[in-house]
Amino acid sequence: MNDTLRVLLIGDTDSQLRYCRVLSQVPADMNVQITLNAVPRDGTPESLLAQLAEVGTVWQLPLDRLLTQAAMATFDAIGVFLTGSKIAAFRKQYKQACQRRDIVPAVLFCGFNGVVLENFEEGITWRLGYDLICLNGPRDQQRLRRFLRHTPFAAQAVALTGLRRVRSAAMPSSDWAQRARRLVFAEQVLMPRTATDRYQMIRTLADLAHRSPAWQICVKPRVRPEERTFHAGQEHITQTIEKALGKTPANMVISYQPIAELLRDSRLMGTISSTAVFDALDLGCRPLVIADFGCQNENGTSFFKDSGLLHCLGHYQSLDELEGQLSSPDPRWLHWVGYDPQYNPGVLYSQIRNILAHPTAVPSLDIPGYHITQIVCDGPNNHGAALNQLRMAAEEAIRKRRWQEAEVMLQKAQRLRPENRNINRRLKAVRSKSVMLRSVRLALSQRYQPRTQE
Amino acid sequence: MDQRLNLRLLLTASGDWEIHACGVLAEQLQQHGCDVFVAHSNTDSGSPAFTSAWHGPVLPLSPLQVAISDLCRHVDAIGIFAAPDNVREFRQTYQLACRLANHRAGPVFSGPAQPLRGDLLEADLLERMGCELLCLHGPEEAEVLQELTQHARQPPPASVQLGLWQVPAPPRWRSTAEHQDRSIVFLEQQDFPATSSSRNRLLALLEQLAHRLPDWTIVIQPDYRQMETPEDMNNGLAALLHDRRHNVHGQSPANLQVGGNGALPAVLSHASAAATLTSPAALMAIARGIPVIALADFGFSSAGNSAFWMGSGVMRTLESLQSEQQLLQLPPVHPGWLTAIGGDINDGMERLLMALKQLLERGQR
Repeated sequence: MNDTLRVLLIGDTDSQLRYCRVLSQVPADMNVQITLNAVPRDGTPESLLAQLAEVGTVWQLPLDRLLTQAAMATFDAIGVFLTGSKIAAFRKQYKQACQRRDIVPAVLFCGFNGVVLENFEEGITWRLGYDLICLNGPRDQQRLRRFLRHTPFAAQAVALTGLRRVRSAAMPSSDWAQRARRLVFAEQVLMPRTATDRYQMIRTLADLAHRSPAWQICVKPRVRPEERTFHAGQEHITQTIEKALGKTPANMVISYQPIAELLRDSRLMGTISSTAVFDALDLGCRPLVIADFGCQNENGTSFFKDSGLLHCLGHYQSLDELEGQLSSPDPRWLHWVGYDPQYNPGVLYSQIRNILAHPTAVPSLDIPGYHITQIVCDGPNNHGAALNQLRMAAEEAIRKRRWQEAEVMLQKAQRLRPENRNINRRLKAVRSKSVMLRSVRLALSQRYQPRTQE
Repeated sequence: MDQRLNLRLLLTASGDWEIHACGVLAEQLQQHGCDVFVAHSNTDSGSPAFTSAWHGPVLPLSPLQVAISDLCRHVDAIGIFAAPDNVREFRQTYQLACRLANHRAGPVFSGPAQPLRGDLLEADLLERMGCELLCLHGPEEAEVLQELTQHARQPPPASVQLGLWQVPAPPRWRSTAEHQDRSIVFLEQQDFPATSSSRNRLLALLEQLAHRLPDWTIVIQPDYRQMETPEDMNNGLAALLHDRRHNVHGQSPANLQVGGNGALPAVLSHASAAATLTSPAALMAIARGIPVIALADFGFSSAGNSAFWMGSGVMRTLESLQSEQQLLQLPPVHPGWLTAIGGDINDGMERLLMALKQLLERGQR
């Protein structure tokens, strides 16, 4: 049996922590001892912390305190699952701390949580410098190789950890006939992107519920109204439902039950572009990707383009008809994106052992001709700095009447702080086609001026 | 099929760089014996660095006006060069207009007007997928198209690799420029870096470079084409430099200068090196064999097409340029990278005409 591999996994947002939990599910014979550090953060669900405790020792230390822990020297490998710039910042600070304390650094690894729908290359540049990068499957691997070929980083080690999220022991056994005639709608806070489409999405689901009285449509919100996520929603889905429908059909419900429980005894699962498609497959529930808003890059639907899962809900008379026409996802596509048993967290730990046995130096990021600048804000609130820059850039664009540019900046700002009303008002204003309407809306919304002290 | 060898083509475009690229393409196709018509609605812009490519008349119509016009019936094929969502809108409108008029839609060809990589390329190609012919630059774009369509139930659209077709100068890849002046041209962009503070920092870095290299001239070449309003100009590096010279007297070195409107070709022809964040005008420098520096000082942005330069071997920071020797010994772009983006292809127009003819033949069967 191999020596025990001591691994620390660090995550901050709830989705990163969920991914850490997936990576912690390794067969006992791999002899991996997991410690998880959940960076303290408002809104991290207690239930999630309890789930983490089931798979490893849980710490809850801020990053600066974590770096000073003597126990850090005991890990063979450290996995960092934070947002982009924080991944780069941690690597820098950890290496400095090791140098100061004269200890050999652990194998550093990082990855992407779920399907990467956009900014893949940018994401890779934040992760360069790590010994190992976890990817989902051949698709991501091919994109990484293409991006890094002709560079000193071409040999970047990767581990294909796959898109399976549920251990085989937890797989369902329930008979299809016993499953509830229920479509679980896995809500995403950002998809579809526009409020208009989100309202339309709810109305489409409600219409389908009306047409399918023998079925239940169960909306599974991404988070509870009081919880926050990195992608905090513009308005909670419950509000969207209330505003879009007024009266919700009797067979359309909202459920905060864990999604795995819902998928385990439901027949169908629908989403715009959530990674929950793969959870549904794990749990024997038949997934479909809602294509009523087109197969758009913007909504992430294009990722599923040739999966065989795309369906327009509006085209079906009822869920019975839809169920009858559902086909299985294309197995070639599943393999390509990483949903295949050969891609699993075990691959990661084998790779780490490989690196420990045959250490190789990671190329520096300042090689002339291949210089990668990771602009790292060491302050506690990177997020805030980025938001500030975007809003200032948007105001600059508004001043110069570059409406399209202002819209792009405000959209990005909205993604970081979707609940901010003034960002939403400014965005609505710059999107106005009528000059007069735009002027009025701009006048009614507050011009952003950064405060010197927060 | 019509036995004429010469095709009658209508090219339409929107967007500054796309209009420039469309002009270059029109000129080249005409030189290859095609009867070419160009339509865009940006005819009043009396400026810039890029307009010289097309010498023929321009129909003052936007792509959407072209889509619903009767003109489309009188050409063999239509080329549209615009942002991908505008291309989708054009196609949908064109097909609807043809249905209404009860005539068959002719083939539409399109492609990104500058080489793209990564996310931007995928998003771009997905939107253009409905066109009958995709104009790609090189093998890497073809590789991505193949991946994007490998599991599709429908056959992928025809595609052709044209090389760097939007660069008007004859390719002189990998040749060393004959350095006439000791000058570096910085190709300014309106959009990058986006914020005032970043633009001020960029100017400070250029000033520092000018201080370090007193025998060299650093020329900021504004993207006049994009600077449509006086306010745009006021936020350009030229205005910032002017402010500094008047308000912070003596701090800005005299060897940091600003290139004039339309001066890009002349400035490039004398430059020893060109620097940029992500300006497509850098392709012109590469075509002239001028060493290029892709500035890495401001980090990496997928949206800004930074991915394009990865693997080029020319990504460096301004701060890393400390001596004249370094500038005189700047390496050329990585040959493998250049090949991947289509830099080795020099018969792009013949390829395009062949592909169009095949498409028309198939359509007539």
